[in-house]
Amino acid sequence: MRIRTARRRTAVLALLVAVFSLAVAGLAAQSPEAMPTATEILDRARGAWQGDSFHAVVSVEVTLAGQTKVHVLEVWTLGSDYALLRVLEPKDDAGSGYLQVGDKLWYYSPLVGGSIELPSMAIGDTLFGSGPSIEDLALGTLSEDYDVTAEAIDGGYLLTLVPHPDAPVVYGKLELTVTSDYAIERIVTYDQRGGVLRTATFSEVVEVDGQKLPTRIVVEDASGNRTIQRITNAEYNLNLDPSFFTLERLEGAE
Amino acid sequence: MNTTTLRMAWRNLWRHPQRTILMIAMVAFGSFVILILWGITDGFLASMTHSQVAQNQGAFQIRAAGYAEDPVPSSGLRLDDLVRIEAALAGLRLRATAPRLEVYGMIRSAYGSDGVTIRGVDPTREPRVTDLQDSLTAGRYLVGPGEVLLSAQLAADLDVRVGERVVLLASGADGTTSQAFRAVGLFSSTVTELERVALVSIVDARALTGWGGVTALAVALPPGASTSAAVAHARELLANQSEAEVADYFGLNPLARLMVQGSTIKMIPFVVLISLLVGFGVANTTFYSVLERTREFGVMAALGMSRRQLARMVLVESVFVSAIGFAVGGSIGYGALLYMARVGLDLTPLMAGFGAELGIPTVIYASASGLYWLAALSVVVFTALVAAWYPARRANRLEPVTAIREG
Repeated sequence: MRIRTARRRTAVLALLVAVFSLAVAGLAAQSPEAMPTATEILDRARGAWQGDSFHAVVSVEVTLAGQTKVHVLEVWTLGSDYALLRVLEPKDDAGSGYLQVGDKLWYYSPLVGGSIELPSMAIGDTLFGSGPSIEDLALGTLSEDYDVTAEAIDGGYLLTLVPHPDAPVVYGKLELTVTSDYAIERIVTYDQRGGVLRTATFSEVVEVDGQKLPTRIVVEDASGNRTIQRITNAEYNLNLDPSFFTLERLEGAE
Repeated sequence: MNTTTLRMAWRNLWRHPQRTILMIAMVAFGSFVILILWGITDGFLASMTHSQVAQNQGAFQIRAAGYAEDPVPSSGLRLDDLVRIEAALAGLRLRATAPRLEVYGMIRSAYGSDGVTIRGVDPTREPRVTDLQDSLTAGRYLVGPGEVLLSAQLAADLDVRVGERVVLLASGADGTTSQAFRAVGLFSSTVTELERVALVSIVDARALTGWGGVTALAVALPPGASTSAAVAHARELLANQSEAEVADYFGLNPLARLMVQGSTIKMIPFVVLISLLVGFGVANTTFYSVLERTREFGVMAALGMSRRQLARMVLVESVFVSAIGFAVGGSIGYGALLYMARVGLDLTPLMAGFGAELGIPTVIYASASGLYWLAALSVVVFTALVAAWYPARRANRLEPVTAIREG
C-alpha cells in the first residue's frame, strides 16, 4: 500500500510547482489597448515567475469516492527545476517528502529510513488519484502542443487550447478563463468526446511581494472527486540557491 | 491355457449377467473418467498453448542471447544481426517471420494510466505470424505509424474508444519519451498477457525507444509442422551465430512448463485412486462370486480339475470383465474426447463472463491425441491382475473334500 501511496503522491510536488508557475500573474501587466494575441495572453498568464524562488505551506483536501483526507505540506521551489516538498500532516506521514532536481525525483520516508529515486514516468500520475495530473497544469509545452485561440469575455479572456493531432496530449481541449490582468481563473479540461473531465478554479487571489497568487485552488473531476488546495504563508524571493535542494535536506539532516 | 478354461470363464460370467454388467460398468466408468479428465486437462493446456502461439508469440522466437536476463531494447538484436539470422533461417521450412521491438512503458488516456508492454510490429508481416487481426472487436488492424491496437479490456479500463488518442510513454535513450497514438482497433484474447500489450508500428517503437534494432523475430510454422523439430533445426542453422538464441514455447513461457509438468504429476494420484476404487469394487464382487462357488469348485476339483486351472479360470473371468469394461469405457471416452476436440465443451453459460476475465477459454477443447489409454489401462491391469489375485488364490488353495462339505 505504501508504494501505491508513494506513487500517487509523486504528483503533488510537480503539480505544486506547476500550479505556482501557472497561477502567478505577470506583474507588469500593462493596460491593454488592443486585444493581445492568444499566445500573448497565454504567455502573460503563465507569468514571468520562472527562475524565482517560492516557499509556502499548502493544505490539500482530497475528496476521493466520498472520503475526505487532508494533507498539509511545506514546499520550496526554485524555478521549475528545483522543488522540495515535506509532509507536515497527517501524522503518520509527517517527515516524508519529495525532492525534484531537473528530471529526477526522489521520495523519502522516515519509515523507510532512506530516499528512493522514483521513475520519472510516475510524474504522469494524478494527484491523490483525483484532480489534475501534471500534464494539465504544467502547461510547459502548451504553445508547442496546442493551437490557441482567444476571445474577449466579460472581465477578461477565454482561451481555447486544442491539441495538435500528433501532440502527446490525451485531452480534447482546454478552456482557460483569464482575467483582464492576466490571472487564470479557471481551467476546464475536456475529454475527446466533448465532455467536461475536470474543472480547476483559482480564487482568493492575494498579493505577495507584489505578485498575485490564488490561494485557493479547487479541482473537481467528472466523477465528483475533488481536491482543494489552500496556500498560506506564501513568500517569494527567498534567496534560495540550487544547493538548498539536496537529499540530505530531504532526509531532514539539513 | 486351453479353450475350455476360456469357455468356462465366459459362461460363468453370464450366469449372473446383472453382476457381470455391473463389474464391466465399474471398469468402463473408471477408464472413461481417466480418459476424459486427462483429455480435458491436456486439451485445456493445448488450447492455451495454441492461443499463445497463434495470437501472441508465434511457434518460436529468435532473440539476442542474454535478452531474457535483461529484457530492454538495447540488449536486443541489431539490424545486421537480424539480416544474417534471416539468411540463415532460409534453410528452414517456415510460414512467415515477423520482427518485433518490445519495451515496457505506460499508456495514458484522459481517464487514467496503466503499465503496458509496447510491442512494435511490422503491420504487414505480423499478421502472417499471429492472427490477432481475426480477434478484433472494434475498428481495424494496424496499417501505419501513429496507430495503436489495444485489448478491449485495457481500453475499457482506460475508457478509450476507437478513434481516440492515447499517449504512450517509454524509457528512451535519454529519459522518458512520449508520443500520441490513435486507437484504431480493439482485440479480445484469452491470452492474459495480451491484455496489457499495446501494438504499434515498429517505426514508432523505434522512435520511442531510440533503438534501431529488434528485440525478437517471431517465427510461424506451416500447419502440421513439428515445432520441436523446427526449433532443433533452427538451433542447428544458427549454431555459429552466438549473438542469437532460439526461444521455444517453454523458453518464452517458463510458467507453462511448470503447468504442464504439474498437471501430469497431479493426474498420477488421481489415476491411482480411480484404479483402487474400481479395483476394490471388482475384487469385492469377484471374491463373493468365488465364495459362493466354493462347493461347485470342490466338485470340479473332485472331478479332476487342477487347482491351478481353477485359479486360472477365476483370473480369466476378471480379465474378461476388465477387457470388456476397458473396451466400452475406452470407446465411449475416446468418442467423447473426439467430439469435444472438434466441437468443444461450451462452458459459456456456466462461466457467465468471468472465464474471459480470468483468461480461461470458455469453450474447452479436449485433446484426443495422447496416450491416455495407457493410463486408463492401469485400471484394467490393476483390476484384472491385482484385484483378482486374492479370490484366485483362494480358489488355488481349495481342498475338494472340505469345499464340498462346507459349501
